Amino acid sequence: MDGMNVSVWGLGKRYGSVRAVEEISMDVRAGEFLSLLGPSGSGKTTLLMMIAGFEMPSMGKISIGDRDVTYVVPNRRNVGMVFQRYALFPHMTVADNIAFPLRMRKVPRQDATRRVCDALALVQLEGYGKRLPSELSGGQQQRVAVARALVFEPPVLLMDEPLGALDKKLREQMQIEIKRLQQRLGVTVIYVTHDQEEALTMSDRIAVMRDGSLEQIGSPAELYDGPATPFVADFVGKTNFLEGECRSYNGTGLEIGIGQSGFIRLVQCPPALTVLPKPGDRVRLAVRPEQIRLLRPGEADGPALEGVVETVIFVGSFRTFLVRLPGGELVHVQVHADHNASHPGEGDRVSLAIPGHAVRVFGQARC
Amino acid sequence: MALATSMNRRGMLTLSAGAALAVGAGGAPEQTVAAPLDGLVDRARKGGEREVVVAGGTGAYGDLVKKHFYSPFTEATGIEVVATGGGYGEKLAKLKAMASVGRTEWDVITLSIDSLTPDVTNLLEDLGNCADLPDVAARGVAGSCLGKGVLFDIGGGVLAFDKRSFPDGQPQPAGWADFWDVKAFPGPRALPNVGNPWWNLIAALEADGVSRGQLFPLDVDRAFRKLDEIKPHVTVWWKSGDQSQQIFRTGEVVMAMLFSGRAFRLRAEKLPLAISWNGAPLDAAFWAVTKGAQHPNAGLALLDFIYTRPEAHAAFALESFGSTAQREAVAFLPEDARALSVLQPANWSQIIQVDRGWLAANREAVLERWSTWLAS
Amino acid sequence: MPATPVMRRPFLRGSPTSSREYGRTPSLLLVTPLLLLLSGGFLYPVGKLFWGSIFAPQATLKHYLRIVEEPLYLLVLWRTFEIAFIVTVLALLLGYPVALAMARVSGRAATLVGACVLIPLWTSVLVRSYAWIVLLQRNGVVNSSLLEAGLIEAPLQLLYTRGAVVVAMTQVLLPFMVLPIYSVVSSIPDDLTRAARNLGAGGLQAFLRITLPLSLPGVAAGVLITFVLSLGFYITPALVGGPSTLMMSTLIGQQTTELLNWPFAGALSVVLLLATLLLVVVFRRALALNKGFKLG
Repeated sequence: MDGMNVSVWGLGKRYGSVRAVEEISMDVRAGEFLSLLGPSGSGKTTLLMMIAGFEMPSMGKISIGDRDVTYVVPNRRNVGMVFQRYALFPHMTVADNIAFPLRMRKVPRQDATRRVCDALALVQLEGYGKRLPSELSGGQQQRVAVARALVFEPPVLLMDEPLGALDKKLREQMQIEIKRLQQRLGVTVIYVTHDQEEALTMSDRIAVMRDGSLEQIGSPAELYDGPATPFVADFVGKTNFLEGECRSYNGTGLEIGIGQSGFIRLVQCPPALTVLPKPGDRVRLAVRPEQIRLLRPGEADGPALEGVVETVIFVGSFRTFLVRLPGGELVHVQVHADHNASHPGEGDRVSLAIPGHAVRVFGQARC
Repeated sequence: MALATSMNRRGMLTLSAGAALAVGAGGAPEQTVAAPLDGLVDRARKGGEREVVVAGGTGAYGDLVKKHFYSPFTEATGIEVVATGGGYGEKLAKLKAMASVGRTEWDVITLSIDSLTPDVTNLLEDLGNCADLPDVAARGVAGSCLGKGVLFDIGGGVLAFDKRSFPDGQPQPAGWADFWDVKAFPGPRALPNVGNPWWNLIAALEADGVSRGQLFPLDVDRAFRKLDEIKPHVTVWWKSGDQSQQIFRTGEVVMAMLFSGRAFRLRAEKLPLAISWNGAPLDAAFWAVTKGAQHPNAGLALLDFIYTRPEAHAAFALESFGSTAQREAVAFLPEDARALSVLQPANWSQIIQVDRGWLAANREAVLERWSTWLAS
Repeated sequence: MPATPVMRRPFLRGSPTSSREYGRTPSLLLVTPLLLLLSGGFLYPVGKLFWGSIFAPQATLKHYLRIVEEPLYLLVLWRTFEIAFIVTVLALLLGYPVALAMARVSGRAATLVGACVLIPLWTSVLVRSYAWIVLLQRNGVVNSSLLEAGLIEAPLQLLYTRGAVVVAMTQVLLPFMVLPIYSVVSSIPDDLTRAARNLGAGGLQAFLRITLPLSLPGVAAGVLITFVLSLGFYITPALVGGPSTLMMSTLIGQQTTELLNWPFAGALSVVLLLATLLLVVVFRRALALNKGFKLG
């Protein structure tokens, strides 16, 4: 099966005066794995339901492949869907569940039986066909739901937080399985999740949603390294936010004072800003914890922030230091665990070196 | 439940309340306590009978009886009346129970005339031809002495029809043959279904031309064949007196067999209802003295006493919509009530008495056949 | 699993879990008042009726023979079941869509539909039956409307007919059909019908293959309750029916209140009870063959 592209233009949904989804336009490429990421109430599920045909858009257009499906009933859209709670039919066996879409398409019985077997094999559930969904574990039910959504070879698969009900370990395992399956089959996947790690792990691209609007769309790396807004910076990965004030700007560089805690010097024009800040403007800085270098006091060869280690958290392959700056800000610093090196302990004074290229500067408007 | 009270039929006669006191036409017989009654009262006094226990009617009906008969009796004789009561079936069951343990606490009991069957008559004092109660024979309607008791309430299953369907000046139904004549008198009809199907059988045989003297023993097969004819036109088989009134109020039927008391009540409501006594089966209650009564002479005195007071019977009739068997009472009724009174010889003579011997022998079988016929 | 709450309806399963959760003694204590009421208010009188029907006072089967030999009683028994059956089918046909609508709508509409179902339930059966008399009588609302509309020339006989009994009983019993179905249908997750639609089923297909089979436990409960209540219905048939709609309960009532024949009334009651039980058992067996019920 080959994936198809899915496009939405100016798609919006209103319930009375409440805007659940603002006018959104985006293109999901054929064979792409795209996640709709956002907190609950951000409109991601509504957007998915409109693509599936369960919600009628208030405005805009949806097309799958070259076909405008805006007003096509759900059963004629030919998209697969995996629901949050799997939505397996409790009164049908696993095989009957998987055969359901084939039966609806009047696939000949023999052909259908073969395809059901293939689908069960695809999700590694050979021999489970005669069982009832209630006799399966959560992970197994999830696979049946995937098999059922794929057995009729839809070019597009919609998934609505399909792993939300599973425990962490099983969830991580399933993430990889689903990703592999998608790559093998070449199906376009639109995947709704509120779990940023899951989105980062699985997606070709992520569309971050907030309050019904599209905040940013891009590859995991683009989102991680170049968040367009503080919201994205915060929601995707961990970020330190620091409030600061522009001190000088001489055409190529910018110096930002962090209150009583020191200052940071940026060499290049900060990418997130469309309007360059003037001296005296208040700005917001975002720095990833792993981008900060932790040094002994005075070791820095440029401007640095001084602080005291308050807490050290050991997280297996790395450590997180919580450093209190003189202005009161708490900064997370993440360092790869090197068991031979000596790390500062709690109460030690440290110096934080922040490379200019690692800093994102945002105006105050949306802080 | 309305059904439970459906068997509670009493006498019948009505007038507006205002007309009730328009009594007092001259020529009414003297109201005196006759000599024979004095004898009964004397015997009671000598026997130390200071009271008489009566199992009579209850409720509003019981209060009227108390007012018009019990209290005057106590006043005239000094014998207290202890009133108790209940439904006919209930009283009968209690009487049987009391007789079986040999201690009958009731002296006088009032019962439906339909219950005068051998198992019951055995429990009642034999009055013979009422020689000891001369007022019954002298002042009651023909047949007031029943041998085992004396008639009190009398009425019957009258033919009632709505004058809006059959106005004066045009042909009006005058008997059961007309009830069966659906061409001359079209419209939906009603018949009772309250556990006395022999009334319907009597009406059917009358309609089929059987002469009154030849009615009993009832030709049941012939009666049911005749009933088959009218069945499709009977839209209501009423189950209670209330229902029988309601179907006329709402115009559900144009013609029915009604308890006469119910018919008079409807007339009192100013419903244009006409009544015919022609061939109406008798509905009556009687008073009797129990066998083994503690106060038998007081009981006999009471039975005779009630027949000495025509004006009380007239007042009782007006207030209860019923009628009683004291035939002199008709003279105390207001003018416009007299013509339709069952006490009029012309009306009383048209009433059909049920042969109680036949009824006792055939009651079960007729009831069963009736239920089957009706349900099929 | 939250995905299958429907299949855990207690009335379908013979194995409640409360004894596991509370222990036997507390469980027994909880049901004791009801058991006492049941034995005192049901088992004892029914037992006494049964006893009275075969020992009166010597052992005799004459009352039962009478039921079999007299055509009336089997006819009425048959008719009782016939009317109960018609009422149940009608209540199902009318009640199922209502239950479905109740489960689908929300907000003010849900309150309205719920009230429409419940308020009649809170109204006395007597009142509702009298209301039917007012509607159906010869000069009643229905006849006068039809006359005025020129559809009929003379009033139709509507009251005291089988049709009147069936219609009135259906209306009176409708909530007992709607509520169990509603309770089951509303517990079917929306996602199941959505999944069916998504997988290619049209609206009708999704209903027939998903909603309908999953609602069967509610249908079974509703049908059973309605049918059993119909069998014993007394007031409505007595008020709006005629002799041709004589039902068992009326017959039993006649025997007890009018003819005072308690042994025979007992025999009739026992026959009705046994016929009802037999039918319930057969009904449940038939449903158990449906595999949707076996999983419980």
